[in-house]
Amino acid sequence: MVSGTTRARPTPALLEAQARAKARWRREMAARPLREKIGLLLEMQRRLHPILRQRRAMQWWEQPWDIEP
Amino acid sequence: MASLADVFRVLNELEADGVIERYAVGGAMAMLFWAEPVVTFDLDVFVFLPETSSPIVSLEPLYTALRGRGFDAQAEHVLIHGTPVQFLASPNELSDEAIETSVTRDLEGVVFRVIQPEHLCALWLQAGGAKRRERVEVLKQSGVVDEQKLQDLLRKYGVVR
Repeated sequence: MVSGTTRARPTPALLEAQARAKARWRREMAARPLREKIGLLLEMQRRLHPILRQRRAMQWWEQPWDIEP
Repeated sequence: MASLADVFRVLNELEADGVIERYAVGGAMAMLFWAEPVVTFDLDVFVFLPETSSPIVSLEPLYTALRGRGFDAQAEHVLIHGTPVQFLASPNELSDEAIETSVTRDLEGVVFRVIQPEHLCALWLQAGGAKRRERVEVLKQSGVVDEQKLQDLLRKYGVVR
């Protein structure tokens, strides 16, 4: 921090609004159709797997699932 | 190509045949049914095994039944229709209650059972770890957790947050 300056902080109202927005997004995600959420999971597996494989040894079962949503 | 519904169909068959007494989906996959998906590479299934005379829990009869259906166990996972499934014999009274109070869901006409959110939270808090605590918060923010019910569970089973 630069000496003699004051860092601006979010107001409690802004923090509350941001928390409400995050909770609203989570509730919307929760309400999505099951097949869509399974599709998202499969997509996350496909994207994350190559990254994890570069970082560490993977277990045999740590593979993207060979299923359809 | 198979789907998750095919996996649940196999679980239902195992239950109908008495290989397992009852099952309920838990872990990160259970979260998908209540909230947003989080990445996982396996499907955790909590089970009650049939009573035996031995005090030691063995999953071998279950693995044998699965082999008979063409699904081989490797170490602690069984690949069922392209999905690695880990069967977890209920380890304590909290998980017993989680299985007993699990609820049914439907996927492509296949009914399966999943652990309720408050029990998922209690199990994760009991097991501990940053990742599990984060899941608890996500479930809470998703508006699916009855906070009073969760507190009662934590008190009942002596789970320290």
